[in-house]
Amino acid sequence: MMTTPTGFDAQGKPEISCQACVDFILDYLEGVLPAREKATFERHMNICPNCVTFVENYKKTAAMAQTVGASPEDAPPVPAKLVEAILKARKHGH
Amino acid sequence: MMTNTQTSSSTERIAAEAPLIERLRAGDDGAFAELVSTHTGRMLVVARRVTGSEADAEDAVQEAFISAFKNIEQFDGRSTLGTWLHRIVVNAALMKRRRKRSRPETSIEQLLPQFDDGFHREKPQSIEVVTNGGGGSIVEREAVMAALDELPDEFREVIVLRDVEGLDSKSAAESLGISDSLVRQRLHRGRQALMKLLERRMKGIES
Ligand SMILES: [Zn+2]
Repeated sequence: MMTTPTGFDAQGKPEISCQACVDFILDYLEGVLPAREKATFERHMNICPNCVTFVENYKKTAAMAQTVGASPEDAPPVPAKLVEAILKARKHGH
Repeated sequence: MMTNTQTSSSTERIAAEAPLIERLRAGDDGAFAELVSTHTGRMLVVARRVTGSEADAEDAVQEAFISAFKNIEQFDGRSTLGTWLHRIVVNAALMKRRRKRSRPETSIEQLLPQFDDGFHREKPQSIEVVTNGGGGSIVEREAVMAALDELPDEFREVIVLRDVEGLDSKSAAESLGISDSLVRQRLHRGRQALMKLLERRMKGIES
């Protein structure tokens, strides 16, 4: 093993930078990050509270955007004029 | 709900629509009226989210139906009519927004995290999500929509398609005419920028 299992290198510095860790987030969350990078990412998460918070925020952000689309309660009243115009457009060929 | 695999299987819903599709193909006026009255509401919601404008949303829905009417013969029946119309209205709404794109392209760089020597320059503050415990509160939804509107268009549209409208990367790439990998790159950067904008808004709501 080249790297220690702790997330730090031989000099006691983090094995990867936060910037490198941030670059991995999307692939990590979607399960397409290669095994070696995945392990590195996870070790960094064990030693870096800043990246832990950042990843949590990233997940919350995506979840909030997804919630907007999935919420069923906001179907608006349909303007009768619009329905009429659409059906008329069909009659007139377009 | 758009993705209601919980309530009834899509195969059942597809089968249930077969008679309506027959009538549409036969040019039955009543069938078209039924299609329009059933789907216009949901399509308007989608078009509004993509265009960010009420008037454009109505135009997009109308254009989407006109295109659907013309192409009903090509509808392959492998998805529900709702899913098919969803794709069509997303595309019509994208066209609308693009024709109008007038805001200066803002830079996304200032919204991305800053690093010193590879490490976070500022300690990230946890976003406190305001929820009503379920499908997301109105406050939250409005905050997300307003924040999305501040994003440069090329990032906004990727997030709207992938996260909000739930398209996969491949479908989003087709709709936008860009590669899958560019979709993923923009999604990743766009989410980070949206995070920053939401952080600011959440602070605003608290104080
Ligand atoms: Zn870190």
